[in-house]
Amino acid sequence: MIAVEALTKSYGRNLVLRGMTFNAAPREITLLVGANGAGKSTTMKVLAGLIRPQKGSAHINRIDIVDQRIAAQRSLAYLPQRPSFHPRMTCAEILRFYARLRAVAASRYEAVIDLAGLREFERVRTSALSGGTRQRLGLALLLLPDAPVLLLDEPGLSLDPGWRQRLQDTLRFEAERGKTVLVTTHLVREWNNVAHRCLLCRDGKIERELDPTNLPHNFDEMEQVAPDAHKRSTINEPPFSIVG
Amino acid sequence: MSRLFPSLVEVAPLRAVLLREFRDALINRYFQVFSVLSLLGGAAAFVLSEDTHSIAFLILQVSLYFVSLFALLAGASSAQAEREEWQMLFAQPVPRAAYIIGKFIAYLSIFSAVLVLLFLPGLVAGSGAQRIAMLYLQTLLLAAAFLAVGLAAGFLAHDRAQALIAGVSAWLLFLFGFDLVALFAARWDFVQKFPDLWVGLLMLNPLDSFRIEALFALEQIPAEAANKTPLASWWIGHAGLWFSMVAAFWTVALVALAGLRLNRWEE
Repeated sequence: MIAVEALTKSYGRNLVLRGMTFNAAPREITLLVGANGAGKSTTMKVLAGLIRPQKGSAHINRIDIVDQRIAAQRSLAYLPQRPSFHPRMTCAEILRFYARLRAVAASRYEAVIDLAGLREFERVRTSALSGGTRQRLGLALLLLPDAPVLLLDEPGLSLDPGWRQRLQDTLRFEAERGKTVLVTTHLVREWNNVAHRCLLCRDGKIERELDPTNLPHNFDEMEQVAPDAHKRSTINEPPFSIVG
Repeated sequence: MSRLFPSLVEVAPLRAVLLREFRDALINRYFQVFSVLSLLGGAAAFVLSEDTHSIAFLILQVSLYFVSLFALLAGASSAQAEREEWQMLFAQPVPRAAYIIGKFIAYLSIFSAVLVLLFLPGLVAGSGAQRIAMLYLQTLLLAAAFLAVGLAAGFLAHDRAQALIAGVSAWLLFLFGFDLVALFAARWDFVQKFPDLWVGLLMLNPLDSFRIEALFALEQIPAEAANKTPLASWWIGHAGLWFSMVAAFWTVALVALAGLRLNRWEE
């Protein structure tokens, strides 16, 4: 499970997290939604052990990610927004490295390659992969260690609709197996009826919980929350207004 | 130090890192070019040198310039090669320092193998096994120090271009900068009054220490040059020991600096 308590984080003068507090339970997919700059990705990075908060605490399976980073990281797997890899290594070399790192059995390694549809790319250098295939490699690495906590930061942005659906099915399956799944996303409508909980993030904290089975109807509310979202968006970052 | 390099007791992750870094070293372009140059340098020393003494001297020049430069470039490019993967790597349950130590061990191991290509022809030509073996070990120490310079430059820089500029600047500083500063400093009255300061500056430079140690070992400098100041006299008398200490100091200090940088890295 994930327990986040009063996280505060700033980059220089820019206060990104202002007391972020929430829990995510096992057997559930929890969505973190919000406009750009709301603090979703920063929260994910704190949970993954990539950055340290100035205040507050974050626990992965009751282990403090700040004070016992390595121990907490044994319980998690993280998929960043834009997964990147050593450009001159092949998919198989990357997968084998992470499998060795997490002491993964060969059978799981084989299963994950097939699940992510990477068999034909095993000998391809990662620099030659399309954005979608790279995302699938990232997905394979997320599933590889069979970690009890899965963190996904804006997953599926480069995936085609078929693979997005498979991603959601896979996460639902993993949640049913007892895992804690935390996902940040802009694509609210795509995740409607997929997640068990949906937390609206605004100005570096959780503003309120939304009904995860009726996310499109919450859209108007969210637009009021981030009225200038369309101005801040870029080609790579879909604004709330194009959700769905 | 224990905070910088936390307990590295788990074998599986360290083995994984080492294997990855060996693979990274083998596909590193600078390293591939260096391997070819070593082979050519060794062959050229064998073919072009008129006597066994000049073979060792030619190898010394190759070591001084090419080994130091390519060790540095290989280190800097290796540190940058996976920079974009740091988010994935650092979310794994492995101390960040393991990546630096793994890189250092893997690259130095492969350097030690490739350097054989450079030194083997000298050995075959009968340059003196002991002399060639000593020069080989000193060159390996030099490679370690400049590999550490490259790793530090690579991990401290924000991108590949910055890393290469910083690395090459550091190499030029060691190759010419120290000597130029010493040259200008020699004019100052204060330095003329305490000439050991001047000597001390050169002693801190691993390239100068290597040069002095290797040149005296190869008897390219008359022994009376050693008696100019007390410190110079001590230096020449213990050139091998001093070079080992200086190379070890720079290596440890720069690897620790790179470790500190990675430990504090935040996206």
